[in-house]
Amino acid sequence: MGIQENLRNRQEIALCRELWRSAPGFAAAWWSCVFLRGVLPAVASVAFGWLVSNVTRHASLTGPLVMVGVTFVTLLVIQPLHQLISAQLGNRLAAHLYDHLMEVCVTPSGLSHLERPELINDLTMARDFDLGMMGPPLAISMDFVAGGLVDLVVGVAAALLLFGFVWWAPPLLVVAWGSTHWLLRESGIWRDRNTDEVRNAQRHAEYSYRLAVDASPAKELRFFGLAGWVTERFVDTRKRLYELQYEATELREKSIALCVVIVIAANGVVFWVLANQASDGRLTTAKMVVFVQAAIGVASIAFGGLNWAVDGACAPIMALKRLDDAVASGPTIAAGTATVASAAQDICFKSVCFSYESEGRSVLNDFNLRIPAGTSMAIVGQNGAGKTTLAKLLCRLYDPTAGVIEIDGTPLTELDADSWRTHVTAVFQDFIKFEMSMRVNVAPRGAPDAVIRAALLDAGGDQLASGDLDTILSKGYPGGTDLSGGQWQRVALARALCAVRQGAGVVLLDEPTAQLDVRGEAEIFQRVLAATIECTTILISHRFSTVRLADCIAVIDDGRVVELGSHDELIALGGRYRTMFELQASRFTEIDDAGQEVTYESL
Amino acid sequence: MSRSKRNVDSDISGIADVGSASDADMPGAFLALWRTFQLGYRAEPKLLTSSLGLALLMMLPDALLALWLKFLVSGVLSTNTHTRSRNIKIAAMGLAISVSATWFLSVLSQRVQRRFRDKVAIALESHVAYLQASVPTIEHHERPELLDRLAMLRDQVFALDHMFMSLLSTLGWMFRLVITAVLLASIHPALVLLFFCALPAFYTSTWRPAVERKVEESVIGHARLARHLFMTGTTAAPGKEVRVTGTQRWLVDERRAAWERSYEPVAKVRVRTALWHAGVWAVFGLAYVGAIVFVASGLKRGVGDVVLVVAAGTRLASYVGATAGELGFLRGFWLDASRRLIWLEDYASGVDPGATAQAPAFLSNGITFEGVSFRYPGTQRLVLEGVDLCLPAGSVIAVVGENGAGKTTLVKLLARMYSPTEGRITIDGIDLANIDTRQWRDRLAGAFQDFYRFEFHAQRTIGLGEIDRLDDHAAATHAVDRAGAHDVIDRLAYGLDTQLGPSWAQGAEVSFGQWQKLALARGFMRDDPLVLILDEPTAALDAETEHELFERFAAASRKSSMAGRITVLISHRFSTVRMADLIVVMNGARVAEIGSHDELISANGLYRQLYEIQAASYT
Repeated sequence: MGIQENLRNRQEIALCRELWRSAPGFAAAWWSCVFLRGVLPAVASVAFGWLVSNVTRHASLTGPLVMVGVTFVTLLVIQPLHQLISAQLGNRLAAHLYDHLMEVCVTPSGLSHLERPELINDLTMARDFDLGMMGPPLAISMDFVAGGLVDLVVGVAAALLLFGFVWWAPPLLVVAWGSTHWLLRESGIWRDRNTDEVRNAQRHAEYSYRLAVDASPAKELRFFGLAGWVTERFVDTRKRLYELQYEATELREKSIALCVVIVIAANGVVFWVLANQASDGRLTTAKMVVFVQAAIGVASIAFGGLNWAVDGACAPIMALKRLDDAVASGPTIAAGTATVASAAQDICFKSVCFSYESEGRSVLNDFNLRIPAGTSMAIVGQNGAGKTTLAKLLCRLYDPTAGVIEIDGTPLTELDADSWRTHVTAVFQDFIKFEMSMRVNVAPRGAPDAVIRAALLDAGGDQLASGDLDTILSKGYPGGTDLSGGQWQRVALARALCAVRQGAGVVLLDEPTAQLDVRGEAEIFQRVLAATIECTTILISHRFSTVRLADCIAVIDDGRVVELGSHDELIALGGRYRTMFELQASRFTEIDDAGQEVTYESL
Repeated sequence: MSRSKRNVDSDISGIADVGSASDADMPGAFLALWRTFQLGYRAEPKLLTSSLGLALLMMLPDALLALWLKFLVSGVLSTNTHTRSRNIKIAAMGLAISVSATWFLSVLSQRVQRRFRDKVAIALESHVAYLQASVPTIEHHERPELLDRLAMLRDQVFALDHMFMSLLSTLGWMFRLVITAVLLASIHPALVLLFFCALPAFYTSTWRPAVERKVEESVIGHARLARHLFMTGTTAAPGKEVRVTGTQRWLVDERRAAWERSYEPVAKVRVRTALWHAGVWAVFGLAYVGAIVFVASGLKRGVGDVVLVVAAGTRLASYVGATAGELGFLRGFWLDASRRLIWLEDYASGVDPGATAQAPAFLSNGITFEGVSFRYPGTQRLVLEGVDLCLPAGSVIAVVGENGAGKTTLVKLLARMYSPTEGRITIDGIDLANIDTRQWRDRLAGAFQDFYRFEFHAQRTIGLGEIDRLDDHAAATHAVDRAGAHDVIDRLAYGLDTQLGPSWAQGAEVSFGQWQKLALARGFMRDDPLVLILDEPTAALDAETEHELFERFAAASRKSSMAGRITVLISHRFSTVRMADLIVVMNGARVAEIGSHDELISANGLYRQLYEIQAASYT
């Protein structure tokens, strides 16, 4: 219990701290409103007593009426204002937490923190807390938090007022009403909701729900008729969640009866004594009215406090905190200081080994390859042979487990990552499609229009180059348009070529033409090679029609280079490359009974 | 090239014409409320009834507090020494019990409501999920104005179960208002006017959320951009490029800026409406002071009545505040969600015209496109224009053409993801529009370029292709065979029983190419489809796999020709295309050429031109 309470305390303190950080002005106003709304009812009781006193004594009502009026109107007016502040503060807190998560995610030079399975839950929480899926968004829940605190202050202020009656009444009522919190602390609250089982059920439920409602699985969902199955799966996991919650909270309902007894007894004693003193005349009517209202007011303590909304508001904060710690203590990319000078670089992999932390399997195994400056190297191999991992290592998203990658003779780990990356540009299979203007998509870090258009031309996007660079490339925005897969690929290529025009000397192309059509593919690749003629280019591809254009080709299998040479050399060698090439090209030769002028003899 | 440019331009202008979301077709508030209420009642009749009962009951002791207070004061001031002490004590005990009972009933009612809410939430969420998943077409996933509406519903389902709570509370508060009004009227009927002074507060509290919502919807583009940039910065896949391009800081700043743009207008309108609301309350406050003056000085009533009017008036204010706040919530969040839900129900039932014709057991003639034209809803450009096609039963048909030439659309129409804007598609002479969609799709199989990565056990990721054999190992293995995906399965630690996707416990990392093979295997689950659709299913596969696959595939399609199966293949690779019986060459939105490989080569048209470009790169 002690430890749990401690944790809870820290969680609330963290909330206060983050509130202050996100918007100090709003936070101060918010707390002031909590205080005012808590204290004013007690003031109103006093004003009320004064009014009653003056009515009984037939004295002037102006003073008490002004006081009643002012407190009452203030109370009324302050509530919507407090709600307003809660909403603004909640929005700002969410934005602040989002900013914080962005920082946590983008700051590490490597990528491992985004791919570590044990961080997924916290990442999901910190990403999605304000979408209203796990509870109301902060803009709403801050108002609930405020409500709980106001009730608590109302109760305490009323109890303080009651000291004017008799010294033991406030502690008695406070303890009685407070005890309800303590006795019912476990019931209804699902404390152990953060077990793996619960989280797992939650993720499964969420996943099924997303399958049913999101756009990306929509086509196959319909094609294969999965609506019923997905919904059923969702209901099953949701029910499982409900049962877990029910089991966890069901056993704790007994204490309510005890609470009722305590509450009735304490209130009975206080009101009885009040009644006695009033009937004896020891208490004036005015005082009695004040104290009765105060005694009723103390009940607010039972309604107020840190309610469920607090837990909801704290959850992302605590998740972020854990992420902060995990990222700080997790594996990092070696911090080098050296910088690179020349534009095109000589790249040399020496006995490089690599395996992902979460998987046991090693992806690269004693990998050796030299790519001379200013040449192009194509890398071919089966799926899962480690081609994309090579790209990740070269971009320093991970450091090799063993071995070294040298750039012009300097180990990559000794280079400053940021400075190195200004020399590298890459097109990945799953390149980013910014839902922003064409300009941003080609040059996220900015470039003159002429450079952008030239890069688009280099990438074969002639009609894109002559279009409006400010058009937003997504349908979900006013005036936005959607590009086809092939057009997007041209944009991604243009992004890399734009970086080349701005000085990048190493170009990584990971399946750059997979979504291009015939005319596009043949034409574009020639253009891209021409545009990167000065650069050290690494091309990962399945298509031999493009691979063969490279100066040198490396065939990799099982994490090492098995064949190396130019297209002609490898064909002459008659090894794996030749087998693969002939398989792909054979579609053209095999059944060509029409003959015509298409010849394949050079194979 | 100039033609393509025009297409891009018209694309843009087409989208610009899409009107902003209008709520004109949304169902009315009361109707929506009523239907949602019925939905809840159907799901949990007992819990709903008892929640309602408790919500009303718990109001009673609370509202009576003012009355007890009056009795107490009257007791103290009474001169009848005989009953004085007894009345005071009865009133005091009444107060003590009322205070305790208020608390007790509220705890009890919370418990019951929580159970109800948890249960009804499941019912509602699954209802929403099923409604969206069961709409036969995918239009609602591609039209911006429907997207926005659904996004809100999908992410705010919790709002629906809150709606019930809100509804119950509103009823409870109203009940208290009535009791308080009766108490006030018992002093002097004119005091009921106080209640009318609270009406503007009711009005503003329902007016506010509507105004705010409107502004929120007007800036939803900025909010969406902020979310997009946020996801770009905080997920792994884009993380690579973010680092390579060095756009980390820029992303953080752009997101913040987009958020500010979405927040500022909302914040402003909130301030404006909150001030109005506060003003209206101030008016009520003054009226209340007036009422006290009226009772104390005007009517020269005794202390008992002054106490009652003050106590009841304070309660009236807090009840009106609570009712108004609850109504505001109801109107602003919960009700809106329920209107969306009812709209979705209507939309879902409206999309399916209830076609009942059966799909044929086998194809004897084939599939015919008769003057089919199509434009995506909300756009101007025709993606298909006057397409006349005959796909003979038992043939393999390849569709080629440049990007954006409507190839995928052709397939989408065939799978009934959309209905043609003009013309019709017939299956052995039966209009596809008259065939039950569900039943028709049961007879389709295939894989798409933009396949989804179903992160389940490999068995299920594949088995989903035929839901009846979801967990059938033999069937899945067979499908893996057909798709040539052994290598993918062999690589997995537990074979078909391996969880896929690294974000799950013990989930295996699967590369893009491997996912594609799995998608292909899923597409091959069904044994005897009428139509097999392959929409660029091998774009990311390597040479060996592709070879294996097409050898197998060609053999299979020849064997199945007895059932009249039609295979529709979209590809950029002429090596694949040329073995089709019939090749359809699309150009723009129209069919440019049809024929076999040899015929089209001899025809010396667009096909030959495209073919030679690719062939040349292999020589």
